[in-house]
Amino acid sequence: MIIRRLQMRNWGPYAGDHEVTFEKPRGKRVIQLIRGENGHGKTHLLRAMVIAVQGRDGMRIVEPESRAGGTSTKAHLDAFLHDALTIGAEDEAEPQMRLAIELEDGDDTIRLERSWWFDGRAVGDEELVVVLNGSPYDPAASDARDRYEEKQALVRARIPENVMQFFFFDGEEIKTIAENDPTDEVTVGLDALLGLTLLEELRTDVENARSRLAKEEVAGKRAAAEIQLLESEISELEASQVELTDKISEQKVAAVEIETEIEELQQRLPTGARTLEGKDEHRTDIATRIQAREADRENVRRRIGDIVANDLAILYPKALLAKTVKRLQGEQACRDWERQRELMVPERAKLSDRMYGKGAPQPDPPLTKSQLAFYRDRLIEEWKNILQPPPKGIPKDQWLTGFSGEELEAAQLRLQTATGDGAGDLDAAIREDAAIGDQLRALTDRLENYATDQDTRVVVEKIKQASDRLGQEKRAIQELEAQLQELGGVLGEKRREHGTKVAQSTDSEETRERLAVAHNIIDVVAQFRDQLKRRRVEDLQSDIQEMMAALAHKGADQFHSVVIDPNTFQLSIFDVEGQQVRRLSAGEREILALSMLWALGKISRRALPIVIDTPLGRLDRRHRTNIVESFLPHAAEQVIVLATDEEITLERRRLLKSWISGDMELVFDSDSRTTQVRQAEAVAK
Amino acid sequence: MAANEEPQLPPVRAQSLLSDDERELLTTLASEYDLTFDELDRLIEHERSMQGMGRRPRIHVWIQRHIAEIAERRLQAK
Repeated sequence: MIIRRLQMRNWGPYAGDHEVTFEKPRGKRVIQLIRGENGHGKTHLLRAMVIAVQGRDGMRIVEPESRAGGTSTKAHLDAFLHDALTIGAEDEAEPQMRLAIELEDGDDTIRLERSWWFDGRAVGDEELVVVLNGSPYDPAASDARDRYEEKQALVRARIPENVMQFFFFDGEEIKTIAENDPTDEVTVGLDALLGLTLLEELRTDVENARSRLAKEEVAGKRAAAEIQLLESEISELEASQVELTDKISEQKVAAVEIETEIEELQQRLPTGARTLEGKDEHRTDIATRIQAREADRENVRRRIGDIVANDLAILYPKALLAKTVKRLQGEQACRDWERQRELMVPERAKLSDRMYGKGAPQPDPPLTKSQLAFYRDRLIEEWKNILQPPPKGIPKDQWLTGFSGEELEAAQLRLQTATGDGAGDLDAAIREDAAIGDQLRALTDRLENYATDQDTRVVVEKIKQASDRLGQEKRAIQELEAQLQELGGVLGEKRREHGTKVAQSTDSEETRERLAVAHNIIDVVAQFRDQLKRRRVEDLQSDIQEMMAALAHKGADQFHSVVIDPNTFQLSIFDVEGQQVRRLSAGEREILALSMLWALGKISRRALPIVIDTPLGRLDRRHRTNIVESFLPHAAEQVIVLATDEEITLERRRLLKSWISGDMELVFDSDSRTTQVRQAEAVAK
Repeated sequence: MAANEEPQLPPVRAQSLLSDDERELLTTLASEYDLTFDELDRLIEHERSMQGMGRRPRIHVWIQRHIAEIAERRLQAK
């Protein structure tokens, strides 16, 4: 990285707008000389570069006491910046003060521009513009403070503050380091420059991540324990759910049974009964009607008996009856009759008795409708046959065997009378008897099924009780269903919780692996830090020693070697004979400090320019020559030297001639107390 | 910015601050712990680029994600 341009507005003695362009290093021409007398603005130039790069935080670099004592308060910063403002510039056009620096970092160009106002607003509110390769860097953050911090982060990623202090320094700085115990500086340098701070911060950050993972793992284990508990609870809840469901089913079955019972009881109530009372009266009415119909039937049957006795029976001779029956047995039409023959035989005997024996009609046992019809039809038909001439080919005496001529004539005579009225009466009477029989059966059934008032009251009471029980059952079912619903809710909640815990628990394997990785990283980083420290301390030792050897005044300076304790960073110096050197001369201390700064800068592996203000300070002639010859040309890719003509004399400029890329002078106007930067050649003209 | 959002780093040119010897040392140490140089180098580079940003939560998120990625690869390799 090199510095290409520095712009200043109202920066100390640089009143108004100034631009300093630095020559690009060419080959070994890496040194940019800027010469000026003390008090003419060299230190302001160094500070301008530091503040332009680091902003207000750069004060820690340019003000060594603020670095050591932590005095970089806002008030201190404000005072510092205000002091830097050119006297009388408060009323200038906005902004009153500005610093801009252009850097080349590999293929990138970076322009940093910082502005300040002194018109009443907070001085610390500096404006920062970062232009990267021609494009303004536009951070993602929307908050002004965050945007500033992100721009600062970009700058620090390129030029860390704690690294910059070892590249931008002045003679006073070297003197301070040299006059104090260098161990502190080595410690700071090693921690920051050697990447140990970085590794320590990384280790801490990974440790934080590990702590989080450990908590997750604990949560995972806890989740596993909770899963067991939850599963037990869910199992119990599911059992309760099944139990409740079964109970509800049982209750519903019971309710259906009660409903059936109620239906059956309701069916036992008289159909169409409008009131529950008066059933006994209805029964009495039915019984009376039965009695009346029975009387009617008795009359009808008596009439039938009369008809049979008077009109038919006497016409039916005994022998003929026997013959007829015998013949009937063979008739196709009488198959049904045959099936009832067993019934017919006693009936026939009774009929025969009534006809020929006793002759009196018998109401009981009653004849069935079919029996009476059969008898009537057969008797009439038989008598018709009897009275008909015999079929062709059959002699008349064979046709009606067993009847005398008188009998036949008498029968024929009676039949003529009987068939006229008697048959019709008998037919009507039989139908009437059947109708009465039907009515009687209906009435009897009705009476049998008709409840009494007492029965009704019992049934009604039972219905009421059953209804009460049904109500209880239904309420119980409702309660159980409510319980079931509530239980379902709890169960759902537990299942969701279980799912969450299972997910947590499932993650635990991954968490364990992450934890192992974090442990490994921490261990590796810690080991690497320790070994890196040891190696880099060795390198640092070697580099300091190398530079010290180059810069030392041979024969006069007593130091020969340097040893740094890798644990305490304690720096010990030894002479040629291996004896530890306790006291160093002022020159030796400055050489040691310069060697340390150079070695630290080198070991940091940062390709930054070196800017040295008054590098030769209080050094004697020999030491100065050594630094000019051995240090400045090899210190960095670009070395900007701010020096007085006493330090870099014409002789030394000649010595450095082949390494100098540019030579500038600070021209101070004592009247206006302002400084101009000009090319040395121009001055020479 | 959400906690799990990818931190937006400023455009920093990645450059290792380690010499070849030091890279070899880190590689050797990493392999002893079933890690690779790249896995650790990414962490170091990221830590470095985040320095001074005052955004520690971002690097915590990033580190956790990086650890998760390494762990996932290791689990897949098992």
